[in-house]
Amino acid sequence: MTVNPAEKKTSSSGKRRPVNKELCAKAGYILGLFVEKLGGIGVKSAVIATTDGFDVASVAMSEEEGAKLSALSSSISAIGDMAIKEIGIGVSHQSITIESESGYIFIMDIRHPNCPMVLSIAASKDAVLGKLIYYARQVVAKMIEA
Amino acid sequence: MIEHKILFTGSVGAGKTTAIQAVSEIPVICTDVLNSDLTLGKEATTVALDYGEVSLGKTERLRLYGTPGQERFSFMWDVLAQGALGLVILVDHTQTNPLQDLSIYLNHFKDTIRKTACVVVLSKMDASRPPALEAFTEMMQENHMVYPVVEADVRDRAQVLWILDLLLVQMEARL
Repeated sequence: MTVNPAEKKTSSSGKRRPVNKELCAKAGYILGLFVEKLGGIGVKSAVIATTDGFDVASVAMSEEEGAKLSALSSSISAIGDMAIKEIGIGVSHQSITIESESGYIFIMDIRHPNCPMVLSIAASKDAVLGKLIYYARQVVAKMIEA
Repeated sequence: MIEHKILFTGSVGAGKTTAIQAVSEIPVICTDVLNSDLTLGKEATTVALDYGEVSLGKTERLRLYGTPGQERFSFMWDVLAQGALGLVILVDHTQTNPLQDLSIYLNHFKDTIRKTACVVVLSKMDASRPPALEAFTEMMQENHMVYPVVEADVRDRAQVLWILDLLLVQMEARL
Protein backbone atom coordinates (compact mmCIF):
# COMPACT_ATOMS: atom_id res chain seq x y z
CA MET A 1 0.00 0.00 0.00
CA THR A 2 1.19 3.48 -0.75
CA VAL A 3 1.28 6.33 1.72
CA ASN A 4 0.71 9.83 0.40
CA PRO A 5 1.74 12.66 2.70
CA ALA A 6 -0.09 15.65 1.26
CA GLU A 7 2.51 18.37 1.70
CA LYS A 8 2.94 18.93 -2.02
CA LYS A 9 -0.71 19.48 -2.78
CA THR A 10 -2.38 22.86 -2.97
CA SER A 11 -5.77 24.18 -1.98
CA SER A 12 -8.45 24.90 -4.58
CA SER A 13 -7.39 28.54 -4.54
CA GLY A 14 -3.95 27.47 -5.77
CA LYS A 15 -1.95 28.53 -2.73
CA ARG A 16 -0.30 26.24 -0.22
CA ARG A 17 -2.24 25.09 2.74
CA PRO A 18 -0.67 25.97 6.07
CA VAL A 19 -0.40 22.39 7.37
CA ASN A 20 3.34 22.03 7.74
CA LYS A 21 5.40 19.42 5.92
CA GLU A 22 6.62 17.83 9.10
CA LEU A 23 3.10 17.13 10.32
CA CYS A 24 2.11 15.70 6.92
CA ALA A 25 5.16 13.43 6.92
CA LYS A 26 4.47 12.22 10.47
CA ALA A 27 0.82 11.60 9.64
CA GLY A 28 1.86 9.56 6.60
CA TYR A 29 4.28 7.51 8.69
CA ILE A 30 1.74 6.87 11.46
CA LEU A 31 -0.96 5.86 8.96
CA GLY A 32 1.51 3.50 7.28
CA LEU A 33 2.22 1.79 10.62
CA PHE A 34 -1.49 1.51 11.28
CA VAL A 35 -2.15 -0.38 8.03
CA GLU A 36 0.88 -2.58 8.71
CA LYS A 37 -0.41 -3.52 12.18
CA LEU A 38 -3.73 -4.62 10.71
CA GLY A 39 -1.82 -6.63 8.13
CA GLY A 40 -3.73 -4.64 5.54
CA ILE A 41 -6.79 -6.83 6.24
CA GLY A 42 -10.00 -5.09 5.28
CA VAL A 43 -8.64 -1.56 5.15
CA LYS A 44 -9.65 0.07 1.87
CA SER A 45 -8.38 3.52 2.61
CA ALA A 46 -7.45 5.80 5.48
CA VAL A 47 -6.98 9.56 5.69
CA ILE A 48 -5.92 12.12 8.21
CA ALA A 49 -7.57 15.43 7.29
CA THR A 50 -7.86 18.89 8.81
CA THR A 51 -11.26 19.52 10.44
CA ASP A 52 -12.06 21.78 7.48
CA GLY A 53 -11.56 18.94 5.04
CA PHE A 54 -8.07 19.10 3.54
CA ASP A 55 -6.08 15.86 3.45
CA VAL A 56 -2.93 15.80 5.55
CA ALA A 57 -2.00 12.22 4.60
CA SER A 58 -3.78 9.29 2.99
CA VAL A 59 -3.16 5.60 2.47
CA ALA A 60 -4.03 3.22 -0.36
CA MET A 61 -6.08 5.46 -2.55
CA SER A 62 -5.78 8.00 -5.31
CA GLU A 63 -5.29 11.69 -4.55
CA GLU A 64 -8.87 12.39 -5.63
CA GLU A 65 -10.26 9.71 -3.33
CA GLY A 66 -8.17 11.06 -0.47
CA ALA A 67 -9.51 14.55 -1.06
CA LYS A 68 -13.08 13.27 -1.22
CA LEU A 69 -12.87 11.16 1.96
CA SER A 70 -11.24 14.14 3.72
CA ALA A 71 -14.07 16.53 2.89
CA LEU A 72 -16.76 13.93 3.67
CA SER A 73 -15.15 13.06 7.01
CA SER A 74 -14.91 16.66 8.17
CA SER A 75 -18.63 17.17 7.42
CA ILE A 76 -19.65 13.93 9.15
CA SER A 77 -17.51 14.73 12.18
CA ALA A 78 -19.03 18.23 12.45
CA ILE A 79 -22.56 16.82 12.17
CA GLY A 80 -21.66 14.28 14.89
CA ASP A 81 -20.55 17.06 17.23
CA MET A 82 -23.66 19.05 16.39
CA ALA A 83 -25.93 16.12 17.25
CA ILE A 84 -24.14 15.40 20.53
CA LYS A 85 -24.48 19.05 21.60
CA GLU A 86 -28.09 19.47 20.51
CA ILE A 87 -29.21 16.28 22.26
CA GLY A 88 -27.23 17.28 25.34
CA ILE A 89 -25.08 14.18 25.78
CA GLY A 90 -21.72 15.91 25.70
CA VAL A 91 -19.79 18.50 23.73
CA SER A 92 -18.12 16.36 21.09
CA HIS A 93 -18.17 12.84 19.68
CA GLN A 94 -15.46 10.31 20.51
CA SER A 95 -16.00 8.26 17.39
CA ILE A 96 -18.48 7.71 14.58
CA THR A 97 -19.05 4.37 12.88
CA ILE A 98 -21.07 4.08 9.71
CA GLU A 99 -21.88 0.53 8.67
CA SER A 100 -23.06 -0.59 5.24
CA GLU A 101 -23.84 -4.04 3.87
CA SER A 102 -20.26 -4.38 2.71
CA GLY A 103 -18.13 -2.24 4.96
CA TYR A 104 -17.53 0.49 7.49
CA ILE A 105 -16.37 4.08 7.75
CA PHE A 106 -14.83 4.78 11.14
CA ILE A 107 -14.10 8.37 12.19
CA MET A 108 -12.26 9.81 15.21
CA ASP A 109 -11.28 13.40 15.95
CA ILE A 110 -7.63 14.26 16.58
CA ARG A 111 -7.61 17.13 19.05
CA HIS A 112 -4.18 18.45 18.15
CA PRO A 113 -3.45 21.75 19.95
CA ASN A 114 -2.45 23.67 16.78
CA CYS A 115 -4.06 21.73 14.00
CA PRO A 116 -7.34 19.94 14.78
CA MET A 117 -7.71 16.92 12.50
CA VAL A 118 -9.96 13.96 11.71
CA LEU A 119 -8.93 10.33 11.20
CA SER A 120 -11.14 8.41 8.83
CA ILE A 121 -10.84 4.76 7.86
CA ALA A 122 -12.85 3.00 5.18
CA ALA A 123 -12.86 -0.78 5.63
CA SER A 124 -14.58 -3.79 4.14
CA LYS A 125 -16.50 -6.34 6.22
CA ASP A 126 -13.33 -8.46 6.30
CA ALA A 127 -11.91 -6.02 8.83
CA VAL A 128 -12.04 -6.97 12.50
CA LEU A 129 -13.71 -3.84 13.80
CA GLY A 130 -12.46 -4.17 17.39
CA LYS A 131 -8.88 -4.46 16.24
CA LEU A 132 -9.31 -1.59 13.82
CA ILE A 133 -10.68 0.69 16.56
CA TYR A 134 -7.88 -0.35 18.95
CA TYR A 135 -5.20 0.72 16.46
CA ALA A 136 -7.17 3.79 15.33
CA ARG A 137 -7.05 5.04 18.95
CA GLN A 138 -3.29 4.64 18.88
CA VAL A 139 -3.10 6.70 15.69
CA VAL A 140 -5.11 9.47 17.35
CA ALA A 141 -2.92 9.42 20.49
CA LYS A 142 0.28 9.61 18.42
CA MET A 143 -1.06 12.38 16.19
CA ILE A 144 -2.08 14.57 19.14
CA GLU A 145 1.57 14.56 20.20
CA ALA A 146 2.90 15.01 16.62
CA MET B 1 -48.24 26.25 10.45
CA ILE B 2 -46.94 26.14 6.89
CA GLU B 3 -43.21 25.50 6.69
CA HIS B 4 -40.88 26.19 3.79
CA LYS B 5 -37.28 25.13 3.39
CA ILE B 6 -34.96 27.87 2.16
CA LEU B 7 -31.34 27.21 1.21
CA PHE B 8 -28.51 29.72 1.48
CA THR B 9 -25.55 28.92 -0.71
CA GLY B 10 -22.75 30.81 -2.47
CA SER B 11 -19.10 31.71 -2.25
CA VAL B 12 -16.88 31.25 0.80
CA GLY B 13 -17.04 34.22 3.15
CA ALA B 14 -20.05 35.79 1.41
CA GLY B 15 -22.05 35.64 4.66
CA LYS B 16 -24.29 32.57 4.53
CA THR B 17 -23.93 31.78 8.24
CA THR B 18 -24.13 35.51 9.08
CA ALA B 19 -27.38 35.93 7.11
CA ILE B 20 -29.05 33.02 8.91
CA GLN B 21 -27.82 34.31 12.28
CA ALA B 22 -29.20 37.76 11.47
CA VAL B 23 -32.81 36.55 11.22
CA SER B 24 -33.07 33.26 13.10
CA GLU B 25 -35.37 33.15 16.11
CA ILE B 26 -33.64 30.07 17.48
CA PRO B 27 -29.93 29.77 18.28
CA VAL B 28 -28.38 28.89 14.93
CA ILE B 29 -27.02 25.37 14.70
CA CYS B 30 -23.59 25.71 13.09
CA THR B 31 -20.87 23.34 11.97
CA ASP B 32 -18.10 25.91 12.01
CA VAL B 33 -14.55 24.65 12.39
CA LEU B 34 -11.13 26.29 12.32
CA ASN B 35 -10.38 27.44 8.78
CA SER B 36 -6.96 26.28 7.65
CA ASP B 37 -7.01 27.89 4.17
CA LEU B 38 -5.16 31.14 4.82
CA THR B 39 -6.12 32.52 1.40
CA LEU B 40 -9.68 32.95 2.68
CA GLY B 41 -8.82 35.31 5.52
CA LYS B 42 -11.35 34.09 8.06
CA GLU B 43 -11.17 32.22 11.34
CA ALA B 44 -13.97 29.70 10.97
CA THR B 45 -15.71 28.01 8.10
CA THR B 46 -18.87 25.90 7.72
CA VAL B 47 -18.12 22.27 6.81
CA ALA B 48 -21.56 20.68 6.89
CA LEU B 49 -24.54 22.97 7.37
CA ASP B 50 -26.16 25.81 9.30
CA TYR B 51 -29.75 25.73 10.50
CA GLY B 52 -32.02 28.49 11.73
CA GLU B 53 -35.72 29.33 11.77
CA VAL B 54 -37.79 32.46 11.26
CA SER B 55 -41.56 32.82 11.42
CA LEU B 56 -43.58 35.13 9.23
CA GLY B 57 -46.79 36.10 10.94
CA LYS B 58 -48.66 33.33 12.72
CA THR B 59 -49.08 30.95 9.84
CA GLU B 60 -45.73 30.57 8.10
CA ARG B 61 -42.31 29.48 9.22
CA LEU B 62 -39.12 29.36 7.19
CA ARG B 63 -36.50 26.72 7.90
CA LEU B 64 -33.19 28.22 6.85
CA TYR B 65 -30.34 25.94 5.79
CA GLY B 66 -26.86 27.14 4.89
CA THR B 67 -24.32 25.18 2.84
CA PRO B 68 -20.53 25.21 2.98
CA GLY B 69 -19.14 27.46 0.22
CA GLN B 70 -16.16 25.39 -0.93
CA GLU B 71 -16.64 23.09 -3.89
CA ARG B 72 -14.99 20.20 -2.06
CA PHE B 73 -18.18 20.08 0.03
CA SER B 74 -20.49 19.94 -3.00
CA PHE B 75 -21.91 16.61 -1.76
CA MET B 76 -23.51 18.68 1.04
CA TRP B 77 -25.00 21.04 -1.59
CA ASP B 78 -26.94 18.14 -3.10
CA VAL B 79 -28.07 16.77 0.26
CA LEU B 80 -29.28 20.18 1.44
CA ALA B 81 -30.99 21.17 -1.83
CA GLN B 82 -33.50 18.32 -1.45
CA GLY B 83 -36.92 19.74 -0.76
CA ALA B 84 -35.81 23.38 -0.85
CA LEU B 85 -38.47 25.77 -2.15
CA GLY B 86 -36.20 28.78 -2.35
CA LEU B 87 -32.54 29.37 -3.03
CA VAL B 88 -30.47 32.38 -1.96
CA ILE B 89 -27.12 32.57 -3.75
CA LEU B 90 -24.70 34.90 -1.96
CA VAL B 91 -21.70 36.24 -3.82
CA ASP B 92 -18.81 38.02 -2.09
CA HIS B 93 -18.27 41.01 -4.39
CA THR B 94 -14.74 41.66 -3.06
CA GLN B 95 -13.37 38.41 -4.51
CA THR B 96 -11.16 38.32 -7.62
CA ASN B 97 -13.84 36.99 -9.95
CA PRO B 98 -17.33 37.20 -8.43
CA LEU B 99 -19.01 36.53 -11.79
CA GLN B 100 -17.19 33.24 -12.10
CA ASP B 101 -18.09 32.47 -8.46
CA LEU B 102 -21.77 32.98 -9.29
CA SER B 103 -21.52 30.72 -12.33
CA ILE B 104 -20.33 27.82 -10.13
CA TYR B 105 -23.55 27.91 -8.10
CA LEU B 106 -25.86 28.69 -11.04
CA ASN B 107 -24.43 25.68 -12.80
CA HIS B 108 -24.47 23.27 -9.88
CA PHE B 109 -27.97 24.23 -8.71
CA LYS B 110 -29.53 24.71 -12.16
CA ASP B 111 -32.10 21.96 -11.69
CA THR B 112 -33.09 23.28 -8.26
CA ILE B 113 -33.26 26.86 -9.58
CA ARG B 114 -35.58 25.81 -12.39
CA LYS B 115 -38.00 24.27 -9.90
CA THR B 116 -37.81 26.87 -7.14
CA ALA B 117 -37.60 30.54 -6.31
CA CYS B 118 -34.17 32.18 -6.39
CA VAL B 119 -32.48 35.44 -5.41
CA VAL B 120 -28.86 36.37 -6.09
CA VAL B 121 -27.36 38.59 -3.40
CA LEU B 122 -24.14 40.54 -3.81
CA SER B 123 -22.54 41.08 -0.41
CA LYS B 124 -19.73 43.40 0.70
CA MET B 125 -20.36 45.35 -2.51
CA ASP B 126 -18.51 48.55 -3.28
CA ALA B 127 -20.46 50.06 -6.18
CA SER B 128 -17.38 51.94 -7.39
CA ARG B 129 -15.66 48.65 -8.16
CA PRO B 130 -16.52 46.45 -11.12
CA PRO B 131 -18.32 44.27 -12.00
CA ALA B 132 -21.55 46.24 -11.78
CA LEU B 133 -24.79 44.65 -10.67
CA GLU B 134 -25.99 44.67 -14.30
CA ALA B 135 -23.16 42.29 -15.26
CA PHE B 136 -24.63 39.69 -12.88
CA THR B 137 -28.15 40.26 -14.23
CA GLU B 138 -26.88 39.81 -17.79
CA MET B 139 -25.14 36.60 -16.82
CA MET B 140 -28.39 35.27 -15.37
CA GLN B 141 -30.26 36.20 -18.55
CA GLU B 142 -27.67 34.45 -20.70
CA ASN B 143 -28.47 31.34 -18.66
CA HIS B 144 -32.20 31.98 -19.20
CA MET B 145 -32.69 32.57 -15.50
CA VAL B 146 -34.94 35.50 -14.71
CA TYR B 147 -34.49 36.10 -11.01
CA PRO B 148 -33.74 39.18 -8.92
CA VAL B 149 -30.13 40.22 -8.33
CA VAL B 150 -29.74 42.56 -5.36
CA GLU B 151 -27.07 44.10 -3.20
CA ALA B 152 -27.42 43.64 0.56
CA ASP B 153 -25.67 43.79 3.92
CA VAL B 154 -26.52 40.37 5.31
CA ARG B 155 -25.54 41.38 8.86
CA ASP B 156 -28.71 43.47 8.90
CA ARG B 157 -31.86 41.59 9.91
CA ALA B 158 -34.16 43.89 7.91
CA GLN B 159 -32.19 43.35 4.71
CA VAL B 160 -32.17 39.56 5.10
CA LEU B 161 -35.94 39.62 5.74
CA TRP B 162 -36.29 41.64 2.52
CA ILE B 163 -34.32 38.94 0.63
CA LEU B 164 -36.64 36.27 2.06
CA ASP B 165 -39.59 38.41 0.97
CA LEU B 166 -38.25 38.46 -2.60
CA LEU B 167 -38.27 34.65 -2.47
CA LEU B 168 -41.75 34.39 -0.98
CA VAL B 169 -43.26 36.63 -3.64
CA GLN B 170 -41.93 34.24 -6.30
CA MET B 171 -43.09 31.18 -4.36
CA GLU B 172 -46.62 32.59 -4.04
CA ALA B 173 -46.70 33.42 -7.76
CA ARG B 174 -45.95 29.75 -8.50
CA LEU B 175 -48.76 28.38 -6.35
